[in-house]
Amino acid sequence: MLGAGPIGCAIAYVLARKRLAPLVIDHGGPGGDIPGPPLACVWDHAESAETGCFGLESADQFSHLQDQVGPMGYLRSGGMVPARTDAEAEAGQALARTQASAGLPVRWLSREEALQREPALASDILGATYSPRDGVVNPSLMTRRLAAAARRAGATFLYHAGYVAVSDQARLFSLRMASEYVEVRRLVVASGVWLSLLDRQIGLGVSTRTVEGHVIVTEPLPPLVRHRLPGIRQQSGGEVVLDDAGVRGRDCAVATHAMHEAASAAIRIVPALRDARIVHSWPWRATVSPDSSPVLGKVEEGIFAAVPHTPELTLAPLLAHAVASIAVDGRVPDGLDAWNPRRVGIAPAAAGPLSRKDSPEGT
Amino acid sequence: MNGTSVQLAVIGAGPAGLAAAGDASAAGVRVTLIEERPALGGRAMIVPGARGLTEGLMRDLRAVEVWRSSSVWEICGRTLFVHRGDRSTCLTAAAVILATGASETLLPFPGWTLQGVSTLEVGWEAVRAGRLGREAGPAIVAGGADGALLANRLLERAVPVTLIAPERPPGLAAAVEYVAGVIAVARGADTIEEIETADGTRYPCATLCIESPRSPVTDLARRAGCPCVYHPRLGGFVPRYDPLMMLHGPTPFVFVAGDASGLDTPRAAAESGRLAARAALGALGLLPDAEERITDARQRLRAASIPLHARAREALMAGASPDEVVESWDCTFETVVCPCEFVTVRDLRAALDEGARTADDIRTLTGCGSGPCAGRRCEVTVLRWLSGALDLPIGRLVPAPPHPPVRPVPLAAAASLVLPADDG
Repeated sequence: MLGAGPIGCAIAYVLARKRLAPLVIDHGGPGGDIPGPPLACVWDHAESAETGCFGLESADQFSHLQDQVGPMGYLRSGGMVPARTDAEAEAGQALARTQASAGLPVRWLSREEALQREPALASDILGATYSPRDGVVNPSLMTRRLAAAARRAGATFLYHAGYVAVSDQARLFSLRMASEYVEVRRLVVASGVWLSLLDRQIGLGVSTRTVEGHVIVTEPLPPLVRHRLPGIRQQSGGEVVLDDAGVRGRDCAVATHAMHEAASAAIRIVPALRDARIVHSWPWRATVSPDSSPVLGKVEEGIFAAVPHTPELTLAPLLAHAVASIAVDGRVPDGLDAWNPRRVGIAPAAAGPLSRKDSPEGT
Repeated sequence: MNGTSVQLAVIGAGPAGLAAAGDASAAGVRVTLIEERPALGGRAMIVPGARGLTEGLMRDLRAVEVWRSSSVWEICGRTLFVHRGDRSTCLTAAAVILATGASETLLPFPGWTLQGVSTLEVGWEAVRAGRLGREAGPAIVAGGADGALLANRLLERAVPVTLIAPERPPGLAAAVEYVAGVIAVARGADTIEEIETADGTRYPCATLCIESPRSPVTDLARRAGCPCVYHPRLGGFVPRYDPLMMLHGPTPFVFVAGDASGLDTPRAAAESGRLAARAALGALGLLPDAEERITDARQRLRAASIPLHARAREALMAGASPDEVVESWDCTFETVVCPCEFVTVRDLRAALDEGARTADDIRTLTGCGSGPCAGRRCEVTVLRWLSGALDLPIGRLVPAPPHPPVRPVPLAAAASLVLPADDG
């Protein structure tokens, strides 16, 4: 298994429970290389209905998983997306209709209903889309619990692996690291970063996309926000986390831009946040599938991938069970064939291991 | 809220910052001096020993523009983001001097997070503010010569005080009770009630002031991209700078002065402030006879320094790597390491068993340092613990890079910021 993040550990847990004793390798430490947002979405009602139904199914597995491996900070807080202009209100109502007709529990709330459920919202909103099923989870806690449970069931973890040279020989893959050498028959790739690395080394013909963002955290505050709002979530300790995706670039001016954007957006939605003080911020980066669906399935003989299309963790349980089923039994679960790595449109323009496979598409 | 521009910005109004600002202003340069406390003078106005020097420097400020109660929360190139009152401003300077000083942090021991336990500096602040009166007793001070000064002052205020130290410090007044020993445990419900020394004797206690290690405040320097080296004599992690006090790193004309460049005497801090100011002005071409004045400042700095510290600084400037020191610190499993997130030594050990090998791993796994104090209280402890636990020189454990904001800033201020124009 390549990648010991939340998805990787979820897969390791499933495989370990099947008594397969997987070996999980990661470049970084158990904390992960680039820190991600402290709270990740588990099912976002505003996401498209294509993945929405699978997302809901997967999200429902979270509390069960939490019961099995220990507290992961999973909470079904419900989510709202307020609308402040007529155009946003129309779009919100249309979204609610589309999602509802796909069988997803999303509806439109009037201004009064929205303010009644979430009093902290700005009083000049026109309404909001709402779902009781939106939730959050703590990714690092989730990773730790899954890793510990996987270890107890027989998985082994190899952190700080350094540079890993992968080569393809007959029916074996050999992985040469600074202090280890491993030969395996089956590789499961659980992160976009590893996918592009393998692509560079042995030529897989699958591309990836990088998304970046900034997280801003305030000091602990008295309870203010109950639901998950766009880019705003209050943790159990009282800190409000502002997650702003889409600010590009890595130089230092980016951090202040991100703080400026996130703060302005947050105050527009929840005016009471004006006086809350920012105490932390950090950039995060994730490598995900190149289009709007995950990459799931057999890439080549012996290599399987499970890489989501967003940094959110909604699909973790689903992807874990699915890739285990594909890698072990050769069986692709119903309806997930559309996510196979060989689908049209996600191979990079020029084939072959020498092209720039990991160039972000459209960013 | 528009950005303003100035020739020299000095951050920190302790002896180093005051001397730098005064010296530059005397040469006719526009200077802005930024201090986060309401009063100038820094630690020298709190802890006795350098008050006269500092008051003299404050009188020499002339035309310096002073911003009090202003905290710098980010540095980007030579643009500072400063929060004053209820607004945030950008200030761009042709040269910046970081005179941020050194801070005293308690080394954790069982019970150190109880109310009433503090460093000597915090104890002095409470004494000056009149908050430590007779009802603060019984008070216990742990420390050497500096602790003795505080104990003497508490005695003058009629606070029942005992000094506990391995040896009796020479300056201790005869009337102060002295106990030979070392403090092992502090006990109490929320507030401290008693302490126990290493030999098992217990003493009732309502206020405990412990002499604690000081280390240079390097967050802005690291934010500016300056690498740090670990040097025990200079106080721990110290930013790298050249013989003219200019920081290594991607941005030129950012200087460091005073205890932030390595612990030394207050007079040495003032002289290094003068050196940095003259070097900055010389580099900008704003100082006639720059070379002469710089050499003069260098000599005065050497004369005012503690010899071993001066030698350590000069070796650092010449690019030497200090000894590979393995610091170690360990404590009972229950001892709290990070008071904000309530992380104990047991949690650190668990993280190590899970595969953590760097300070970043520890932070992500335990949450240590991700609370409101942004690691200021626990960072050094964690690095020392890790150094001992992994048997790795502490200088090789890179402290997790600070992220902005370096000081808390309200959302409204961040939202109303007018940012400098992007270039390219």
